[in-house]
This record gives sequence, structure tokens and C-alpha cells, in this order.
Amino acid sequence: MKKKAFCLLILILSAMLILCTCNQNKTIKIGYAGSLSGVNSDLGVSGRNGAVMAVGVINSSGGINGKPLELLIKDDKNDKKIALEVDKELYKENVVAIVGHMTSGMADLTVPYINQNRILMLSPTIAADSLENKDDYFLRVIPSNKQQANAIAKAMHVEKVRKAAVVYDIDNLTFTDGLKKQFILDYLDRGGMMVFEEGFSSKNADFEALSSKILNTDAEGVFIIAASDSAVMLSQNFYKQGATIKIFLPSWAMTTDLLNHGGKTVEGANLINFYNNASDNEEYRLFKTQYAHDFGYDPSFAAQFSYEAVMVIAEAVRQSEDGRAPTLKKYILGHNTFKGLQGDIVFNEFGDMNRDSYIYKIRNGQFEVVGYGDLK
Amino acid sequence: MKRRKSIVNILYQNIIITLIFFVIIAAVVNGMVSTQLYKSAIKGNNVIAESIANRIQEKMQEPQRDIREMEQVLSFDIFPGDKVNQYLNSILKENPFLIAIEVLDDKGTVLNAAPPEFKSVGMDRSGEEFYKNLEQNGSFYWSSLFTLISKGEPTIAVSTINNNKIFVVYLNVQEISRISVDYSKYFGAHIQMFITDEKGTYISNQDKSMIFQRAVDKDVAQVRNAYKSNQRYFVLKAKNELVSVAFVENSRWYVTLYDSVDYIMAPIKRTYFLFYLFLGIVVMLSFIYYRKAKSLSESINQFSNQTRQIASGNFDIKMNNQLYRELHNLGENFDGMNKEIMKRDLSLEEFANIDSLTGLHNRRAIMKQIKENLDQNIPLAVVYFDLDQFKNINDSCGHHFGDIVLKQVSTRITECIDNKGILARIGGDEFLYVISGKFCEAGINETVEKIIESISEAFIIQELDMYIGVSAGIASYPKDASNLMDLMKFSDMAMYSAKNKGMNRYEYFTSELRAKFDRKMDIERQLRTAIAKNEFSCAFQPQIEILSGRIIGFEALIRWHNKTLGDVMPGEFIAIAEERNLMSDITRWVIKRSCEGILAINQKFDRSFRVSINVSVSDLKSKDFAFCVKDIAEQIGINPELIEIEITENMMIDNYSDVIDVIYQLKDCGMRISLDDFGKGYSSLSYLNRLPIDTLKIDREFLESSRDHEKGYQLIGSIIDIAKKLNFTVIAEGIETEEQLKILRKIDCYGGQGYLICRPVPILEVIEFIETSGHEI
Repeated sequence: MKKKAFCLLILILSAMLILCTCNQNKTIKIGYAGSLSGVNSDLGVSGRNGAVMAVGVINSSGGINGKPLELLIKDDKNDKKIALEVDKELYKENVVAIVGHMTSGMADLTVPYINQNRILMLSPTIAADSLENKDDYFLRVIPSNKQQANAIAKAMHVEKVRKAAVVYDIDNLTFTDGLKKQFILDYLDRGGMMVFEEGFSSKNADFEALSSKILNTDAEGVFIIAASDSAVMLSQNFYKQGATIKIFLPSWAMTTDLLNHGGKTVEGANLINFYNNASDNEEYRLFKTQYAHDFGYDPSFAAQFSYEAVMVIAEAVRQSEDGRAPTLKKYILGHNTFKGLQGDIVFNEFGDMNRDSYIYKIRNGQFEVVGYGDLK
Repeated sequence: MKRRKSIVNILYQNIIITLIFFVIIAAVVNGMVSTQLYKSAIKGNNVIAESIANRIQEKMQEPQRDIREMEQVLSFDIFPGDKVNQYLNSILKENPFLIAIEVLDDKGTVLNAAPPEFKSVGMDRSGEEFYKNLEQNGSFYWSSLFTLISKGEPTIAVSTINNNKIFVVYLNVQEISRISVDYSKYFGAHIQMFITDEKGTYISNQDKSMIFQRAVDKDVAQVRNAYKSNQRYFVLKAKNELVSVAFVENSRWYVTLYDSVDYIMAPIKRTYFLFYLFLGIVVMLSFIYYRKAKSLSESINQFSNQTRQIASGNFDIKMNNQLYRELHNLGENFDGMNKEIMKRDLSLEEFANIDSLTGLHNRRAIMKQIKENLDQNIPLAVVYFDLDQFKNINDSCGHHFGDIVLKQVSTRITECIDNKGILARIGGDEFLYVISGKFCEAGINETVEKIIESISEAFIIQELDMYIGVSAGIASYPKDASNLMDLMKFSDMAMYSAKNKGMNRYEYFTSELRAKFDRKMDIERQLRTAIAKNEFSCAFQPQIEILSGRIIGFEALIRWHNKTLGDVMPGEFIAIAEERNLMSDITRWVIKRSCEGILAINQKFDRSFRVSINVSVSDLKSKDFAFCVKDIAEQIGINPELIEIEITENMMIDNYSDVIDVIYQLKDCGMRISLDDFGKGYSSLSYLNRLPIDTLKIDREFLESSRDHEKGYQLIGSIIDIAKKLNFTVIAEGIETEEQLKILRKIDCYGGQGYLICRPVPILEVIEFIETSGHEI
């Protein structure tokens, strides 16, 4: 009897020891890759914040099939080679998909790599036309450049800009070159005249000289195809020279940094984007409130699209059997319609999409919707 | 007789019960030691977090001081054109904490900037967080972390507004991070330290990329709660980490310290295996070697007692002298654990007791040492050193230069004291030297003289010869004082006595100083109840127009008669009231009585005489002072324009930026401003330009000293000429002779007051004076 009780006790102790030491919490990893540091990092930082928030929401409601999501964040430093390296690192870490990158230039080396290794990449903000209509592992939740170019040309027409200049960041040529060409076509179509066109490197441009060059032409408006930092440097230099040229900016530049660092100099500037920052959609309102609480300022489109991208991947992982890239892609393109923060988002058979576009103007230091571009 | 059972029999019969018993004992001991380890870690980590926060706070005074320095220098308008930019650039180069400086106009446009390569002059900053949140009261605003576009680097802007100019410095966050990470390395690799701004964005992180990426601390909500609830720590269950929280007040940053709970518990965990192994062996041995059971039982009891002592916080105990090898090994593990805890406590103690600039003891350490000596009744002498005119070095050469001087001073004093006694730096330029046990006055004199002589020699810093002096005061126990507070106070008084006697010398605390101290204490005690006991009175001294003799106004002067102390002069009690924060009530009392007095005179004679009222620097530092004076005037029913507020040049010297706003508010409320005692101190002409003065009052001593030489009156005449050009009214104080009055008339001085005309007298006598003196009104 005593011997039996002794053995039972030893057994119970051993079982407790095993239970304590075994690892119950395996996580599902998702990668995030974007430019997080240095000049032009505002977009990447916003995107990361949106992704972090989405992961928080999913985990607080029990994760995916009982497993928590883990977000692995990588900084591509807006450099193609580093972008490739960080994707390789994420691949080694066995992520189910990558949310990113955030600028089209980063796609040059990374998209071939993910296709070769069958890694699903869902980009919140890469809009380059060159990636459109391809059956590959690159999907996106932002429309391509065509829609944006057309909307800017329309905005210039509305603002009665008869002669225009265009400057573009050559460090992200994959995006800017396509957008510039399409814009020029659309603008000329509407009867406008191009009087100046020049590329610059956002890393080492002489913005004082560039702004003087633009002002020396008789352009009535300038389309700055660049991120907020470069846009601010140009608008500040216009201001220094007392100029009143009308400024037009792509969605890429529409971040909080533009308002904060641009101040009065960007007042009246026109922008295009694919989200409505004044939307009264309940989901968006909650997202906006929570984001402002967590990060101290309002979400940009990059934050919203990253949030939505994580949610799409999470839904696909939840529904797929093995969590492998081909299965996830099949589910996303097959299911094709997902709930976004401002209504449904719909992928076409190549993983591209259209969205409603909105024309914004900066008034009293805020982005204000003043019109619509093309509807999707 | 009660029958006792033997352990051998118990082991035989109840082996399972014994096993459970051991497990329970193990669990209890483990619980007790774990709790103690945990409590010790919370306490220790909170002290570390607090110390780092204090150090950061001290460091972060530098950008604020730089801004104040810039404000002051630029207020003189001495730089022509782009020289301002060069000046800003020189400040930037001196300070590794800054990456850019800008001066903006009130619309947010950059007027001046450094470095020149950012080309930011002319740019607009009206959208920036720091611009939108600036307050007009001259306080500093610390922005959240953002990327400085011109450089692509993370930064924080510190800004303030003064005279419609906005001063902004952009901090080198990488440098701040490097310094704070260096602090934290001192406490070992298991501790991770982070600094975040209020939103949780990293400012300091061992992983530098987190700062560049503007990453946000996921635990920021818990950090805020821990700080607000005053608990100052929380446990991060997901990572099993203990997080201690401290707050940097001026910049509103959080310092968080993460320590692994596993690491904290590591010392006891190492003992687990041996403990359970030992337990098994105990059981086996109990079967086989039952004869040893008794001695084993005693050993376990002894071991148990020792662990209980550890649990109660006594780590200075040796446990490796056990009879049995296994217990001995277990004891050695415990000894290791105790040693680590004691080592950690020692490092903490050291960190908290060392002055970071000079490496000397700090105030906390030396106070503790003095207190210990006093508790043990050990005689000691305290020498209080204060560098003479050190502020001038800081003001003229900058704080970095000042810090180098302080380091060299500490080295020289250390060499002079030659390992006798303890030396500490207890404040900016104040050092304390304590000699305890046997000492003689001659020995102390010799050492102190050596120190004074050594510091008088030139300091060669950055190829500049710099001369400073030091004054010292000495007090001893038990001769002069019986407690720590008195000892410090008396040595400080002796030091000030040395300063007053010409500086660069030393003085002992004497019976004279004691009497002065006692008198001061008596005055302070009586002063606290003087208003309630109605002991103050208000006297008025008429002011006349010198040319015509017409009465133009009155100066109100406070008088105090106390039953015990008799008549106490304002010169004596005002300084004490200032020191003890009692001035506010007294000034309000004087303003009220002055207003009532002037109302009575004006009503009686149907005139609009003006009353001059003296105020103190603490009044002017009170932000609502102007409105308070206006309220009193309105309640009593006199026009604020009939009030002239008298300020002195001395008030301005150290407090210009703190009081200037209130002076302008007084002007805005309609009151006049008079600069009193002109000619007594520096007589700086710059104040005439910088202050909104209406009246200049020439000091009585100046008038007195001019009596015997013509030049003195010529000088007064020149001052009057300047004052006229600046549209000031000039009033000479302390007119005592007809001759003085004659000369003042000759040099065209507008007004005057003094005993020759009328002494300060109570209100009824003023009325009598007006009626009988023959002066026109």
C-alpha cells in the first residue's frame, strides 16, 4: 500500500514537471518590411503602426485558431539591396506572408525573389504599373498608378493650372517614372502644357536650386512625385522665395509629417488618395480613435492599408489548411472580397485592386476632401 | 513520562509522510527566499530607474540653460547681420547634445539658424508640434520624437518664447541614448533600460534602430499606469519580466528598466536541483543509515534556521560549513546567492552615493556619514567651501567649461586633504569637507589655507588662464551644534561671513554668528504672527518737486514694532521674510494700507497724489502679482495709475527672465515703475534700456558720497541728462541738507525726498504736514 502511494506521488510530480516545461505557445509569424528610418520613413512608420495595431486586435480576440500572431518588423532603409536581405531573413524565420514593402522601388529585387521562393507578399502602398496584371505572389491593397495619375490631372484641371511642372524622386523610379509618364499623358489630354520636368534624388538633392529652377519657368502648378519629406523641402524653399505656385502631391506624400513640417508652406496643396479620412464608417471611426490613442496622431492611408493587409492575411491563414503561400494566394484570389475599414476591398484575378479616389486640399493644417477622382 | 518516538522509527513507518513534509519545508523556504529576492529586486531596480532619471534630468538642464543663455545674449542686440548665425553655430559646436538651433519670430518663420548647411533661415515652422504647444509664460516645451528632415535623424525639439522670439534647440537623441545606455550597462547585461517620450516612442534603446524607426513601446499604457498609481513597477507576465518605472520631470520622459524574473530568481533556482537530489538521498539514507538520523535531523534544523535568516534579509551569513557534503554544496550555492545580492546592494549604494561629475561623494553620502558620526557621538568638524564668483565662469564661458573647472577644483582639494577626512560635492559649486575623530584647529587651519592657496593658482583650461577663489566656513560638533541641520546651517553661515569679509578666506562659526542666528530665529518666529497681532504700521514720506517745493507724491514705508524685539528695521526683517516665503502677505498688507492712505489724503485735499510702494523679488516672481495689486486698488477705490511700484537693480541681476513679464503686466495695468537705489550697486545703464521705467530714484548713499567732491554732483547731473533723454522722472532720495537741495536744484533734478523735507510719518501726521508745512499741493 505504502509502496503504491509512493509511486503515485512520484508519478504526479513527474507529470507536473513535464507539463510545466513543455512549450504550449507556438506563434504564427507575419513579416512587415518597410522603410522605417531616415528621410522618407514616415510612410513605413505609419504602415508598421497599422500592422502592429492589427496584430494586437487579432491577438486580443484569441489569435488565429488559438495561436497568437507574431509580427516580425524589418527596416529596408529605402534601399533595394537591404530590402532583398530583409525578405531573405523573413523567409528564414518562416513567416507565412510579408506585409510590405512600402515603396515601389523596393519591388525591383524583392518581387522576383518572392516569386522564386513562393512567399506571399501583400503590399499596402506599392502602386507601380509594372507590377499590374501578373499572376504571381505579389498582391496589393492599393490601386496602380493609372488611377492616381488621372486624378491628379483632373485636380490640376479643376484648379485651372494651364502650365505645369513635374519633379520626381529618382530613388523610387519604379513608382515615380510610371506615374510621371501617365500623368503627363492625362494632363496633355486635358489640354494642359508641360513646361518643366526633372528627376532628383531625395537623399542628396539641392532643394533650394531645384525650387529656383521650377520658379524660373512660368509653371502655374507643380506635381511633386515624392514622399512628404522631399515635398516639404521643396514647399519650404518656395515659401522662402515668396512664391505662390500651386502644389500637387501623390498619395505617397500624404502623411502627418507633411502637415507638421510643412506648416503654412503646404497650405492649399492638393493631394490624391484612396481613402476618406472623414469617413463615418463605424469600423474606420473605431480604428482611427484607437490609432490616435496608441500613437498620438491620426492614421495615414499607409496605416489603414497595412492594417487591412494584415487582416486579409489573417483571414486567409484562418481559412487555409496548411498556411503555405500557394494556398493563401488561392484563398485570397478565390474569395476575392474582404471587409475593409471603409467598405469591401476586392482583389481581381491578379491580386490588384481599384478603390475610390479622393482629391484633398490642405486647409487650416488639415487634409480636407474637396472632390473625387475616378470611382472604381 | 511521555513516550517519545525516534526519527528512525518514523522513517521506517512513515516514509511517505516524511517525504511530503520535506516537500512542504522546501516549498515554504523557497517561498520565503523567493519573496525576499523579489522584494529586493523591486527596491533595487526602482532605485536604479530613479537614479538614471535623475541623471538624465540633470543632463537635460543643459539645453534649457543654453536657450536661456542665448535669450540673454541675443536680447542685447549686439550681433550685426549674420553674426547671430555664427554665434548660434558656436553654441552648437560646443554642445554634443544639440544638432540644430533656430530662432523664430512669433509667426514661426526662421530668423536665425545653425548649422548653416541646413539652410533653414526663412522656412516656416508653424505646423510643428513645438510651435503649436508653446506657452507664453516662458516655460519650455519638449516635443515628441520626430525625424529632422534636413538631416534624416531622430530628434526632439526644446523650445520657449521670450519677447516674441521663439528659441528652439533640436536634441541629438542618439547622444542622449548613448549616455543613458552607458549608465544602465553599469548594472549588468540582465537589465535593459529604455527611455520613451510621453507617447511611448523610444528615445533611448540599446537597439539604436528602434529610435531611428520611431518605434513605440508596446507597454507604454502599463508604464503610464505604474507611474500614475505611484507603484513604480509592474510585472510583464508575457515575458516574465519585472519593469521599474521612473519619470524625468522636465522633459516628461519615462525611464523603464526591464529585469528578467528568471534572472532575479536564478540564485534560488540553482539550488532546486540539489535540493531535490538531496531530498532523494535523504530518503535513501534514512532506509540504510538509520543510526545517522539524529545528527542529520539536527543538520537540517540548522540549515532551515539559516535559510530563515536569509529570508529575513540577513545575507551576511556563511552556510558552507555543513556536516554533510550535500548540505555543504547546497550551502555554498546559498553563499553564492548571498554574495551576489550583497554585491548588487553595494553597487547600488555606490551609484547612489557618488557625484557623477567629480567622482567625489555626493550630498546623500556625506550627510549619512555625518549622521552616523553624530549618532555615535564622535566629534567632527565640517568645512563648507563655496567657489567665489563661479556663476560668472558659467555665464561667460558656458557650463561645459564650468564643469571642467569643478573637476579640477575637486582634484586640487583632494590633493590638499591628503586622505584625511571625507570630501563631497553637495551642490553646483559647493563642497563639504568633514574631519571626524581627533582633530585640532591648527591642523584644520593649515589644510583649509592650503586648499584656498591651491585654488587661487591659475586653472589652465582650453589654453585659457582662469582665476577663481574659494570661501570656507567651519563649524564643529559638539562645540557649535548638536545636530546635522544646525551643523550644516552654521558652517554655511560661517562661509557667508567669509564671503562678506572679502572672499577667498575662511571663518569659524563664532558666538557673534550664533547671536546673529538666534536673532534671526527670533525675528522669523515673531514675523509669522506680526500681521495677525497688528504689529506693522505704514509710514509715508512726502516727495516734492525740487524747483517749486510742491508736493508730488509719497513713498509708503513699512514699520514694525514688536513687544519682545522692539523696533525692527525693514532692512533686517525683509530679508528674513524673503528667505522664509513670508513676503507675499506682508507686501499685500503694505499695498492695502498704502492705497487706503493715499485715498484718504487725496480725498481730504481733493488731489491725485501718487504713492510709491516697495516690492520684493518674490512678489515679482508671483505670476498673478500685477492682477493682485490691481484688485486691491480697485477694491479700495483708487486708480492703479496712482500707484508706482519700486523695484531695484539687484532684483534684476539673477531673476531678469523670471520677473520681466510681471513688470510689463504691472505697466499694462496702468501702474508706474520706478527703479530704486540707482547708484548703489552696478548702476547698469543696460537696465535703463531694457526695463519699462518711468522714474529713476537716485540712492541716498550716492548723494551722500557726492557731498565732498564736485565730480559726484556732475555725475548725478549726467545721469539726470540721460534720464531726461529717456523721458524718466528723476527723484533724489535722502536729502538731508539745504546745500544738497540747492545743488540738486542747480543740476535740474526734478524731485526729491528726505529728512530735510519730512521724515516718514504716520498718515495723520502726513495730513498735518501738508496743512502746516507751507509746501504747495
